[in-house]
Amino acid sequence: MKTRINNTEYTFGEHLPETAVDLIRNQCNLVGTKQVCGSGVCGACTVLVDGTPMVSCLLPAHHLEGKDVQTIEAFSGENLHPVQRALMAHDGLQCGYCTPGFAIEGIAFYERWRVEHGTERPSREEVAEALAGHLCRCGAYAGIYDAMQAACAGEFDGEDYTPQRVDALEKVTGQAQYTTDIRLEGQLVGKVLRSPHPHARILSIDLSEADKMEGVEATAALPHRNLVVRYVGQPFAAVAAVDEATAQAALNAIKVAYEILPHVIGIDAALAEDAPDIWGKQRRDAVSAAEGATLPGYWDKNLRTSRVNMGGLLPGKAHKVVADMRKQGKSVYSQSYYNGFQVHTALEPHCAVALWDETDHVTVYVSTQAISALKYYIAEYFDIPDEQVTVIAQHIGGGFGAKLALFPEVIAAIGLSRRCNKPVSVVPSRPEEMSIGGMRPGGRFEITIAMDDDFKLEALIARAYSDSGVAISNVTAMMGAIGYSGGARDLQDHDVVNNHAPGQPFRGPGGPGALWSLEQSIDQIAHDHQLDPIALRRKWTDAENLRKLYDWVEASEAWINRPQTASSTERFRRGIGVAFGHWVHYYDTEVVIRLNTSENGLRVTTATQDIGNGVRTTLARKTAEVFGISPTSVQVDVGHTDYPHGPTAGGSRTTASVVAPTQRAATLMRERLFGLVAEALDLENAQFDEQGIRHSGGLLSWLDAMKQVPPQEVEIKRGPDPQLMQYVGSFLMGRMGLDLMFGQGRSHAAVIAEVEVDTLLGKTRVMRVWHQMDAGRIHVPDMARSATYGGIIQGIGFALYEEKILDVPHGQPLTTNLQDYRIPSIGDTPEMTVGFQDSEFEHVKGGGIGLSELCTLPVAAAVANAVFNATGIRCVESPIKPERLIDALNAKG
Amino acid sequence: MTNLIIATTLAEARNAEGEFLAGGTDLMDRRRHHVSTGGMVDICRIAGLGEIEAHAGGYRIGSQVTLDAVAQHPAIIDHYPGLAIAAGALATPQIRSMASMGGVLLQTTRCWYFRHEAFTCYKKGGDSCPSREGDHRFGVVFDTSPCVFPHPSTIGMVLMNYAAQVEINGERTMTMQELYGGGTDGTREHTLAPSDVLTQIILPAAVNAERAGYFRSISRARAEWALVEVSARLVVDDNDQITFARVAVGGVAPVPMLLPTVNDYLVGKPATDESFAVAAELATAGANPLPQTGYKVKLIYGTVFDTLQRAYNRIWSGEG
Repeated sequence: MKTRINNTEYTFGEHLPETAVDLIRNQCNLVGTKQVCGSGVCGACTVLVDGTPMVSCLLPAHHLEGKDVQTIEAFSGENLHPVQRALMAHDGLQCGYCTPGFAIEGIAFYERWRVEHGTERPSREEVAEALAGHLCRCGAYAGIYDAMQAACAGEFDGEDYTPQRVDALEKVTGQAQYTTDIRLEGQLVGKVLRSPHPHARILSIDLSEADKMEGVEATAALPHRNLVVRYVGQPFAAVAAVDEATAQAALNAIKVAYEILPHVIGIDAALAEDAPDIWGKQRRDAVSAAEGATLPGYWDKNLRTSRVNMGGLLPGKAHKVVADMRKQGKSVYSQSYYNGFQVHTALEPHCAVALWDETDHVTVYVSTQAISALKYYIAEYFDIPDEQVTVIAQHIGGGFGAKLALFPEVIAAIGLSRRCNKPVSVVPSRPEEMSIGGMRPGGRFEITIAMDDDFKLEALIARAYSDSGVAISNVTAMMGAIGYSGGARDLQDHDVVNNHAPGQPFRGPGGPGALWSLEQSIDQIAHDHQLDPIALRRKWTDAENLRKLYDWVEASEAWINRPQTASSTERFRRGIGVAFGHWVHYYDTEVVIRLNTSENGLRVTTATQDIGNGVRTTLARKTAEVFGISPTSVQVDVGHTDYPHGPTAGGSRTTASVVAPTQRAATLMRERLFGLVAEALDLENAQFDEQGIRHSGGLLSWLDAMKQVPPQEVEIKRGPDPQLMQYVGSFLMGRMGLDLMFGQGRSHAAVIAEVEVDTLLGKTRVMRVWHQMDAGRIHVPDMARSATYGGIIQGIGFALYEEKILDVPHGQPLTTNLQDYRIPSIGDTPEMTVGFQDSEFEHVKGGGIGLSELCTLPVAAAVANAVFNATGIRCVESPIKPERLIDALNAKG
Repeated sequence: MTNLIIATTLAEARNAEGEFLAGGTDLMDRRRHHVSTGGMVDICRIAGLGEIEAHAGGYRIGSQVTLDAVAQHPAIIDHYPGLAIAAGALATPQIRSMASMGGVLLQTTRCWYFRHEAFTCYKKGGDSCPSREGDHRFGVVFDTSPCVFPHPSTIGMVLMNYAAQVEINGERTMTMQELYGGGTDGTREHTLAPSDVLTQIILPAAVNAERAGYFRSISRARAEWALVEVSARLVVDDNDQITFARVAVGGVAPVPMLLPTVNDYLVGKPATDESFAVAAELATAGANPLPQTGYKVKLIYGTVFDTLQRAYNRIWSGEG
């Protein structure tokens, strides 16, 4: 078969893969084209076939015969397209994994548009229609809209553009290398065997047939003595083979004998009298759904109760207050709220490629949020010294909290590679990823609120029954402790274990669900008592930072002009809702920033990783600012554990961990250069200047100055903030683990959402969102804004669309593809206005902290409050899908 | 690929073993996810199946014509607007550029149990419907078959509403109703034999001054399988009286449903919201929803009402 790809003639032999994407990626090694959903929904695999965008995951490979194909690789260098320049300039990308697909589609749209409309600006609707076949999990849609409109209007037809991200060019040209793109010499395909049963004892695992198969290079299984699998998809064996088909055949050849055990799905079933005891005597092995330490707790069969009550010493009083008020006939608010499971489904799955060398050193390419931590986890698991592990993650196709741990694919790749001494990659399929690759726990949140006659908080009782599958250690009720003050509290967290895949931390773990309940409760109380919702909140807190956000809401046109609740009888009803979020922050004291100078300029290194959070850009900008140069002239190297310790991208800790030491390193380097260069060159009247060294002969720029002296190196460690400990309620916070430190102070967010509810079809659209945050100084405003856009969009997904659904009789996840599991698409993106208080957090080195979790927390609650404002319907259960809302609308009449 | 046969003639295709492959938008998804594992017979190179042309007073569309080509075709836009709107509204632009008309008519069910490797069901040769026993929130509201998932084909529903026929093997024709059967056989989506090739779609003569609408109820803005979808065709006289009405609904039954009682009601009525509301109510008659599909009865009402309005107002959009 002959095909022209990117102006090169290819001749393919008999053995074609079934689909074009596999041909392009595996036989042509054009890995800019990504394979994600495998169902033609996400568009990451889009290529141009005779100029028409097609999803190559569904396109039969042999249909390319005689065709002219263009992949993203065709659009680089001098062929860089205006659409790509626009995407870089408008930051229409974050992790970059979906970007080649968007760029290809955007290029086709631009070309069509120009022919038909010249440089007229397309509407948002027209852009959304054209890009309807693409999904971005980070939520970079705002930038994509702007980029497409600007490009079509001709704003990027010239060569000039300024990228917002320093690694944008690699991403828009498909050159950015992700773990799925690693192709080592002799690399094998590894696959993991997973339990088909939700609860079973494994009696035997027979690998012998698989071992004998031609092309199978390694097999491995966990010791199966008393091995119990507790969820569908639980991994316990793995194979490595020369290709995908052989690996799949080998998996099928593994004989496993199971003793099927009874299973339960769902909170009520797990708490029922006749439910099986899922962890039984192995409770110590229960996996954690939490980011930090597992708080102590006690078990009652499948119910685990945290010993830590965030209500401090007054939980008993809270109940007494409520009982007394009820006795007196005073109104007490009490309501249960429910949340479904939100799946992370990063577009790059949990994957790894491992290779051992002859010195027993293992190099692991892995899609992770935590290269530095992972290095230690791997060393510990495989019982080798730390320095014999190298972890590399140049680009990561999204994480959102699910890629913090040593996940099974990493263990499988390393273990299999050790057995066969060849590189092994393990890349789960989309159904595997969506079944076990992580989800935000769901559950029930019971809330009771009592107030005095002046509506001040007297008692707050929150009981969270969190469902994180077989995992434990949810911290959700605690959210009641931050933000509002006063009154007695009983804030109690429970895990209800049942037989499905473990939940994992997801962007502000526990937060969106807790605020879904708390912020809707406040809204309902205000409505019930004819109070202004902001006035009510003012009675519950006197924190200055929050008061300023209340002022911001009250000054907002959208809020001032909000409709009366349920005042419309039209089919389409508009509503405005407000909600607030509060968050703690972490940082990593051990982070080291290394700054080097050489003839080539400045180079910053640290062993962190850019998951789309833009840390490369943060490091470049903070260094460049000190030297008064362009960020693009700073080389930033991250994603490799040969560099000094860097932060995990989790717990919003990156900014608070890297900015201060980077600024310090740059400042010190500048001072050192001044001294060294002035002396070496014997400059007359040398004076320190922001631009460089001023002397009698003129100005020597910093970049020129560093060429005059031998290469220099400065390393700065982050270290702790001045005050190490503090109290949150009565719970002592401080050092959480190896590299995790609880910071001081709180960050806050206010969100106003405007929705339109189609009462005929039960459909809710978020039209506009106004978002204001106080997270101290905003170090890189455009990265912060992009992160916030993404947080808003994921919050909308949580509120309206996203829900992992399980088949109860079989314990099987049903939403295992991106058609049945619905993440927000570009057409679901509201117009967003993001602002920052830009205060100074004097208690934090550098004055500001991360906000990637904070920004998403109150979004869903604001949407729900807006739906209430529009319709008078209180949506206690998320997501607010048509199938739920239409019933409620009809019941209301 | 050893299990692929590329047929160049109908005879070759009919004698080969395997599932027919056209645009690939259904079959390649099932193959990647291990739901289809047998041989494939590519029928794209069979000559004469790629044209849209005037035929017997109406039009005929070759089964290999893509959705996008149908949506863009001036004659289809003029004469069969409801078909053009639907063909341009479903799935995504990339899919519409690939998917063939024959393929979308004969695609397999979108049931998440059927498409799940771990489950067997009536349509996979099994003897149960795991959706009926398990989760069937996307299931039918007219429960006439052992399988509870609705028919997946938007275009099938629209063509039924246009009283189209299909040509099989270049030899015989059948109505859309005959193609899909009575909705009682839970084992398959259509009545063709495995060796039958759908060759042409035959549209009857256009109706003068037709106003048409297509709309689907979904949760997001675009690119989602319909919860409920409706095709509506109206002709209205100078006094805004309805003189012709054809309404069909999908996403609610094992096969697309025509709504003759709704048509009968509408003819002679003024084209007003009041008439549309009564028609929408009539559309729900006889619904016997499953425990989880009661909401769809309300969506039938809403979607029929909305689509009648769209048809009357000539709104050229099937989603949003």
